[in-house]
Amino acid sequence: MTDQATPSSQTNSDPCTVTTGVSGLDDILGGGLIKGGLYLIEGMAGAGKTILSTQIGFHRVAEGDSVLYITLIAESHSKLLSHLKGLSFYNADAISDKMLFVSGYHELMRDGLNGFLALIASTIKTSRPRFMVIDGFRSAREFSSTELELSQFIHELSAFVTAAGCTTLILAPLSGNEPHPEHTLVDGLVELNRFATGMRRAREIEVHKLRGRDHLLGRHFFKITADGLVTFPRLEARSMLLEGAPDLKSKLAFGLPDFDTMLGGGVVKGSTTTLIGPSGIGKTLLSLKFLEAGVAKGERCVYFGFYESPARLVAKAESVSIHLADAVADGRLIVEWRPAVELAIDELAAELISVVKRAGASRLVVDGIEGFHDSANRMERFGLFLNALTHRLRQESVTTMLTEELPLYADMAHGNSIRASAMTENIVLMRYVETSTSLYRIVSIIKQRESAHDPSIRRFVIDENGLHLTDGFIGTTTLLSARGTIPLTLSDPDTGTRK
Amino acid sequence: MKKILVVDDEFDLLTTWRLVLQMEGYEVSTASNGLLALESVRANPPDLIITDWMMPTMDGVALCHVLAADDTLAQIPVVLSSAAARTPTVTHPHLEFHRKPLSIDDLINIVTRLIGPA
Repeated sequence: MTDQATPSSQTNSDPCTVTTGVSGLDDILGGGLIKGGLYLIEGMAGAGKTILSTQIGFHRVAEGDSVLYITLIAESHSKLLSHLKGLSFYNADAISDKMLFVSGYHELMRDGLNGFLALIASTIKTSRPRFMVIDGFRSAREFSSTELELSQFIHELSAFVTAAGCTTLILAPLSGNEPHPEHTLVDGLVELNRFATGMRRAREIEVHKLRGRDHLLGRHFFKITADGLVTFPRLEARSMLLEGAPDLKSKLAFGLPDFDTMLGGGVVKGSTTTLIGPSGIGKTLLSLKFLEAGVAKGERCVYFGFYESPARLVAKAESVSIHLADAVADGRLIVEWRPAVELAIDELAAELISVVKRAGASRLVVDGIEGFHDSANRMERFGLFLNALTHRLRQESVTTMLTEELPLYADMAHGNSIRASAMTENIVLMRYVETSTSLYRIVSIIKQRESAHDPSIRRFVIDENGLHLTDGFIGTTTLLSARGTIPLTLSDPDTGTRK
Repeated sequence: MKKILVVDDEFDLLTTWRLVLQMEGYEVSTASNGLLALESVRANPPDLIITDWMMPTMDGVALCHVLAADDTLAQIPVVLSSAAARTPTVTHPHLEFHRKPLSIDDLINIVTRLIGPA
């Protein structure tokens, strides 16, 4: 169950609003469809038009409406129903009683669009549906001899369904860039399409037009599951609520005294911090230390990562005396593992927000913001997405650690970082420095937006007893350029003495 | 069979009300403005007139005034409807004003109340 998985507007009591019951879609539609409106759903074959419309239909039945499904040249009714049987929203008991399937093909062929309209009118009079689907509208398009004739039909249909209070969906194939008269006449135009990136294909939904609603512009990812369509409104497309002033006095510590001192006591509650550094430097362990400090105080915490299974993660932490097993067992710590599969960025975000809400988490670690980056279908939106995501997490009052990978060998001045750090209040930089004989881990606080911090560079040591910081680390040069070396003459003799 | 004249400059509404009222069993004629409606009323007086207010050539209010001035035609009940917020000032002995949009149920209830079933 994701953030969107609960139809958001089911409780909407506005009598003019017709909820779709499709996860996330009512948010995209600005609340839902308008009672008596006429909407055009366009999409190529296999885009999900029939599933979408029947899913809404069965939802409307559940809400107490009668539904009329009129087909022209489309799947036969028995075939259509047999395909729907595998979906969770299908309700066999509703068929024929509350959900009526009729074909309008014969009337269209015999009497044209006027005959088809008369059939719709008489069926509406008889069965009094509040929701109607006209599937296979391509036939009506092809049957009209002129655009004017089709426009007139759409006009009359629109007036009729409005007067009948019967919200209507027309399903039609994609018209591409070619303008169709019905686009201007309907109350809403929704397109189901696919986005191709390499070998991946992602389903997308876009509301081009929606009269009387402040809908979310642009394309939104959706998938078809056993529960039907699940849509994921883009985070950055939503209106953001104004943030309240942060409570700068409430700080969350890492339970690592030297490091907490550098931070002036910890990170500000509700803030977002990026732990940035190359592979193996200890970002994950430092973030787990943050979670350990939280669960030790009885807080609810969430770890959301991509690379290590929960068992492996807990074992790894245990090996350096970070004790999380009990917290995982008793539910204080939820470990969410998303192995690298073809996930969509918006789905990941929805899952992340959902688990944070569900847990009522005060601390969150997102281990590997690259997991989101790799799931982004369109890289150009990633900055805005991250900004929206961190904002959304602040709204949940959760204090967040993001880990961000820096390249091990490359010069970071070349901009290889995905720059999650630019979106967060605090940045902790972790790097390797090399002497003639060894590599050392170092840590420093680059930015802490809302309070003073110690800018010194400290050596960071990981061993079986835990994580440790040394007093000071003198001699490193050109650290930020990722070429931290210690001149032989200035080599620090400190080998990592624990405080 | 009772006869109803529907007057509106929007063809889609004419079609809708025609279909709805025909399905109820009434005989329905249509006109797209007040002047054409007047011609129709004089040629074939209906049992009820349902008219829009704002129309070209002759609007619904002007149509009502002309009907009211004729002792015979003034006896035909008229339903004047409009999306306008204000109610027009019309002197007519058998006039009802209803705000648009009218639902099918609204329309059938009004018609049945005024002239009974078809």
